[in-house]
Amino acid sequence: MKKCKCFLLAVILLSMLAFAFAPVADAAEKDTLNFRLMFNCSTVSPYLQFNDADWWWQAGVYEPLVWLNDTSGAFEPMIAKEWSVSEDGLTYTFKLRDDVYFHNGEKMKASDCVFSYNLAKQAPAMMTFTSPYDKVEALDDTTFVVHLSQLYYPFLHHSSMIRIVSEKAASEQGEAFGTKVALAGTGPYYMTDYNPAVQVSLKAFDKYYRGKAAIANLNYIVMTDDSSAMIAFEKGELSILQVPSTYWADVSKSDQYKSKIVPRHELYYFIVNMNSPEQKGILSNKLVRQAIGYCIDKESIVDVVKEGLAIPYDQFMNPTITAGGPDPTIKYEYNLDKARELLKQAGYPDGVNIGTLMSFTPAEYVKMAQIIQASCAEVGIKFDIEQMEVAAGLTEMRAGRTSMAFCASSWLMDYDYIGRYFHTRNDATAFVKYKDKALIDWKGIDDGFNKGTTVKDPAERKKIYSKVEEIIMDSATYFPIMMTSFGMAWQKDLDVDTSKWGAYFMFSPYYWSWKK
Amino acid sequence: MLKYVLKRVLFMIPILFGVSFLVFAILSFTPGDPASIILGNGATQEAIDQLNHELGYDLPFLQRYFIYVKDIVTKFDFGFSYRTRLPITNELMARLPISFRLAFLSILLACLFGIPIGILTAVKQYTILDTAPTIVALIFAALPTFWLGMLLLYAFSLKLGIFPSYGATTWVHFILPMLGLGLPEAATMMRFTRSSMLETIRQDYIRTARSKGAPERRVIWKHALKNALIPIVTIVGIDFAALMGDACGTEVLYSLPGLCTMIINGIRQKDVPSVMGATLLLTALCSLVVLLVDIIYAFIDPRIKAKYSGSRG
Repeated sequence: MKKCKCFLLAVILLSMLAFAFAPVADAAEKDTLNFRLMFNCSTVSPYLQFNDADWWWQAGVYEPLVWLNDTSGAFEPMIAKEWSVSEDGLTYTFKLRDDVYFHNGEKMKASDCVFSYNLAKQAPAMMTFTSPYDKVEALDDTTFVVHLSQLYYPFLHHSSMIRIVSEKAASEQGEAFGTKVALAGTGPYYMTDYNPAVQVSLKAFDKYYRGKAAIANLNYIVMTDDSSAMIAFEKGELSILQVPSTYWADVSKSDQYKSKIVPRHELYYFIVNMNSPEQKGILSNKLVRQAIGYCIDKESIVDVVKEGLAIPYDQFMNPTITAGGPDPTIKYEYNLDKARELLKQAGYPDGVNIGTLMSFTPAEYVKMAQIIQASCAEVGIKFDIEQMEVAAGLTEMRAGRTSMAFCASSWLMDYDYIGRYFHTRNDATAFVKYKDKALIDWKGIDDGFNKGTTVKDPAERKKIYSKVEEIIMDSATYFPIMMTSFGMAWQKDLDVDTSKWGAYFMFSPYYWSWKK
Repeated sequence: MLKYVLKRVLFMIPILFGVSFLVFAILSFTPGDPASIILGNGATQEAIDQLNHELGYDLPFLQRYFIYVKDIVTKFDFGFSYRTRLPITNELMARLPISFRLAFLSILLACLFGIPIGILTAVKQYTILDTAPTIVALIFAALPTFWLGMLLLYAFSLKLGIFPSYGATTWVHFILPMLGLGLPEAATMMRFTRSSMLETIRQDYIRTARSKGAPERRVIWKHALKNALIPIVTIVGIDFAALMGDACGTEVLYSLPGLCTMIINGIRQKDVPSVMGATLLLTALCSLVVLLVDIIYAFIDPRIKAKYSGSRG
């Protein structure tokens, strides 16, 4: 009996030792890059939805005809080596490269582009980008033509969002395309493993038309917790990380890593619903709305919420790189005296209760809400903060039931893109319903967006959109707060070509290599 | 006994129906729809309507519920995730072993440490062997599992480099999550065992055993522990079931794709089939564990077995 107990104890101890000294995941191998994905993936298809996680890894797998270099705002050739627009502006002709192969080994032809554009046209998530064209055709194997239904000069921006997939690979999978590994892209990496809740693995493609990538393997690992991701990065298990804002100050100063701030095109803005039924329609008073606008301390929000990984913003888009993007028109700078004065003029010298601010549950939204609540309280504007999950909050906002709310949106780089938020044809989903409201020149907004897409001259477009932005800003219904940035850090022995960095191509690892 | 087990298994059917209806109703009547989330905040109404139609979310509530239940009953088909469009059954089968392994290892750790130390502290009441473990147990019981998990990650993964910081591919990946979840559980188990043992060793039959000259070891292990174990088995069973569905913080921290994260992500994404599938599976497992505990009772306590046998007659 005693012997038996000793044996059992020895087995337990040995097992524990085996556990403790068993080989564990090492730091990233020198032919491998490990990335973190902040959310689960959703799909393998480039058409089914736009989720940050999918966007990151798909950038290495699928390519569009042209690439929008979002650091300069210029278009650069990708699968299409050149393109032209007809005199009437209704036909786009793309001349394709003849050395492009899909990951299944098939040569890419114009018929694949026809297939891809038609497949994208059926997908609700792509509706914004596919709505301008009604017919596509292949003139020969290397000539692809897109016929627009009406004049639409920002079309190239849209085509840069439509990736090309192999007709054969996608058709073979049929309905299952999007749910499992597919060798359907033309990018520098092909998929080897897809587990949406765990990891996506890619391998360098030998027949890539620009030459094989220097780094052989990419792993995109789902890690939803910021602290765990930071530990994995410090340990070397992750090669590169979008640093959570709370860690940015330390990481950017550390000499153990390299780091860089990369601007992204994501705007945080504050919405005041002039049609709010709360508090007997007090928010229909423009002076009250303007007073709220002057209570928004953008600098503090940037410091507290984003720890410097953003810049305070007074307009909707960056005018230097956005096609048609106007310079700031009407600004609402933090000025509590002015807010008090406006409130007095509005007939509320002793302050006013304006109802409820709906905040999404993530902490950054709640912090923003509290900052604005505090400064509004100083001038006598009082409101409660109500927190909601994004799904519920968005529905409430779209139904026009919220009085005030925040939102963050990533923009495509043409001013027309934000028309989907302000043009009254999208009133059903707009956060503030403008249509038929006497309080705002909604026809001016609609006309501006309608006309803006039919004008070729950039200066003329800028003028049109300046007018549109002026009307929106004057309405005091939307207040831009900040444009955010990525704080990126990577291991010291990784050579990263940051000249190609832009938000759309997610820092393409094709240009990177490990130091020998 | 068999009749009793069958009766309990059959009783699970209305429980599963009730839970499924309740969760389905809550998910359906809270604001929001899957297409709005999938398509983002700038989507047009046309795109939202089209996607909701493709997902079958535009049907009336009762019709959706009826289709859902019918597919489960007739085809054992839990539907497709709105988000990934993958079959829920496959996802459940992939995630269940992870949640099960985590809960099992944690409860095993809790039992291995909690029960023997609990017995020791009861037997050595008011000595250093009682107070020291009690203080340690109080500390572990008070620590939030998420925070303890973070400390373990920092110490054993980052600083000592012994364990990996994420993943679920080998048993090694489960050691830190097991400690993070199991140590507070062990503390609770220890406190509970101590109380149960103390109550038992004050009983008359223990005094009788001692007065009859039985050795102390025999009194504790044979007479006291067997009786003290009955409530402990209940706790082990219930806690095991609870750990399966309540390990969200740990799953998130160690990037373990288990059932809890499936439910949380599903709620955020309004992915009704995901939430329903995971909830029903956890409900069924909970019911089975409780049934198992009841059966184990019969083996531990002859009085209960006699009751079942008696009722049969």
